[in-house]
Amino acid sequence: MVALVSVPAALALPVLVVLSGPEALVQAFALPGYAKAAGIAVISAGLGTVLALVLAGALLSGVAGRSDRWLRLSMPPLLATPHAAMAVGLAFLIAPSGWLIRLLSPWATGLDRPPLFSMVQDPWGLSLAVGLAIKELPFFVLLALSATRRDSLQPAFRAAISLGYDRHTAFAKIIAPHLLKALNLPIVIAFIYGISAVDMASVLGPTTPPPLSVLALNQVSDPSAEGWRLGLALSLHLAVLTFAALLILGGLVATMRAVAGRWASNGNRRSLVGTALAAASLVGRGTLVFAVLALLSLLLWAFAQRWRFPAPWPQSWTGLDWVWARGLMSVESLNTLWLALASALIGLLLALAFVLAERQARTVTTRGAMAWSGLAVLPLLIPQMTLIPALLLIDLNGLRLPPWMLALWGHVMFTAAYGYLTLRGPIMALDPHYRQVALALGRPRWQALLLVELPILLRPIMASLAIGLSVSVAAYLSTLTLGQGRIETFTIEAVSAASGGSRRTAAQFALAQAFWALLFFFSALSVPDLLYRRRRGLAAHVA
Amino acid sequence: MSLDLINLSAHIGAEPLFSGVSQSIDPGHILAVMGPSGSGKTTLLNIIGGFAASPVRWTGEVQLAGRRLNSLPPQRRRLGLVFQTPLLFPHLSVGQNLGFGMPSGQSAVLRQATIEQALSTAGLTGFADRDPESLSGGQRARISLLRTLLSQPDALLLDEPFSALDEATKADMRAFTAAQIRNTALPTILVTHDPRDAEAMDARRFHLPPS
Repeated sequence: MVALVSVPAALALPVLVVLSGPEALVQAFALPGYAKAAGIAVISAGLGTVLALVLAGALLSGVAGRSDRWLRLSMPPLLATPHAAMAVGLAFLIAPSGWLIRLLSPWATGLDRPPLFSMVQDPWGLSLAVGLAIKELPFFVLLALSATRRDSLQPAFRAAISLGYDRHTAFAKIIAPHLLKALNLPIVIAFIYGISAVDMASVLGPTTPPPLSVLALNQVSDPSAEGWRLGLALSLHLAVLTFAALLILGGLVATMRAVAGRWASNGNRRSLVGTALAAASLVGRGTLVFAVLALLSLLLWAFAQRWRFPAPWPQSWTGLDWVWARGLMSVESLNTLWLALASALIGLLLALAFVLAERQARTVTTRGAMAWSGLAVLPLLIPQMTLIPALLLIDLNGLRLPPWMLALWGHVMFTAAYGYLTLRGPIMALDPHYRQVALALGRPRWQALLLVELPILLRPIMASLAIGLSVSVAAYLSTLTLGQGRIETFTIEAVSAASGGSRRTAAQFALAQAFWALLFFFSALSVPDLLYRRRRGLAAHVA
Repeated sequence: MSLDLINLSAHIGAEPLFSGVSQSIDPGHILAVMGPSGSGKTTLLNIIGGFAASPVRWTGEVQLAGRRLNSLPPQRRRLGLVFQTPLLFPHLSVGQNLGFGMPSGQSAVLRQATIEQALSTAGLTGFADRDPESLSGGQRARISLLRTLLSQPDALLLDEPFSALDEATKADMRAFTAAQIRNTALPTILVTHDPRDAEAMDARRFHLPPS
């Protein structure tokens, strides 16, 4: 079972090398726009990750030592909103005829028709970087919040304040270096995700040329054997580019850490970095408002019948019939729902198996434990645009699974990996005495696990299921490529409508996608609240 | 039905921890294992309970009522363990926690009666449906001990069971525990660093490392 997750990831690179061939690998360099496509990929993903990291740090710096309640509560919905829905909403917010310009026109801009310049699909992928940053922000903030609490950094922060440091400088000198270390793996994962987030790139990214991942996707869809092989070569290039970029990123972080140590002990109570963080914390809050506006504009466009420029609101509204026909009782709905439920449940079981195997292995050697950990997250360490075509090739050259099964497999690789990341901390932190007590009371191992440990861990287990559900609802590339165009989900339709220019259709599908993702996410999270109403020992603040 | 430790020696990696520990504990009697932290008190309990894992290596023999325990898994040793923290399962009610310890096979009515009976010995009648989190530290400690006793063990292993309690509760719990041990006639090992525990419970003292 566990091999389902790791084997495709382990085989991805060799399979692509063999099947694309040395000729295509060289020819790929000569494709028109190749160099710029590679540049855009690195810039948008790199900038998106750095931006998200700085803003996350700034937001945390703003709440350090104070109540972080609003931050803790506002991040999960943002995390659960699918990339595609966010991209479509963002595009409709900042497009030349988007909501933002409408709100400002004509009184502030003087415009009575859409401007000619465009903020979306800018040639270097900056709007794509902003989109990626908005989606990576909650990922970083939530992980950093739990790291701050787990490693009890608050007393150290208070000590720095009482030594006379201003809050942002104290954060930069005391908490930030620790967080940077704790976020090592998430930073790598976010960057790798960003560099092949084709759904977001198709909506927000430039087109001539597009980022390397989209170029590869277009080429893989080429019907000629030669073109297709070139596409495979491109996805291999993407992997190499990603690893090279990560090496540079790692070098930068190492240098920064070396400098930061000296800087932290120079005795300055105030600093430019502190001032910059204070400013960035305002930008961070602004970004959150921006994200909410993007989702609201999705809502407006989904229900707008007639909306003349530059009116701030639509003149007439659609009926509610599309909600039923498109959002609830459609093929897209059915496909999205079964894929999400099946892949999240299977993924949860696999994630549990990985963590429990790791815990077992840790009692013997740390190396064995690390091997399990590496296998579990392997699918997140290879760009999707490399991994997914490789899995398709493995299938075409032997397995020949039906498209629905292959698509489900693709989803499971990611739900299992993210599920593992969510479950690992809480399971490893569980007091081993609970298990020992159950065993000493004469219960067999499986009962100690099933009747004691897993129920105590219900909250993180359901959180992991919630993440799995939203990962599957958001999945684009795995559904499109592995489903071989035969599985239509909200994501697929929203992205294709958005790039086809059908604004209302795109908004309606994106809204349906976001609705289901959020509904699933919060239903899963509410299960422990219902079951453990009368169990204060398992209240939300404990887990 | 005595608990016998025969020539137990333990190493952590290459470091010797203790060696040649031989003790016999009769039914209803208490052996208080004392010693500074790091002297191997908890390791000794883990060896007896079957929880000793790498890097601990050990030799010797553990016998309970003449039965050799060495190769039995923890759940088949019939040893009752009580830790410093009560470790009540937070997802179960007080009554369900007690029920978890009881052997299966009895009727629901009988189980309920046994639970009520146990609660009344602890002065906690009517607490079956309570959330463990709503109990005081002393009450939790009692439930934890009762849960262990209801599993009908053949011996008791107590690992610093009173050290997390305040002074008044401590005295109370020592008396309660000693009475339960007398009533059930279980051979008991009490690991503690507090000489007053051994004194109050009339235990035979044994110091690690053996001098």
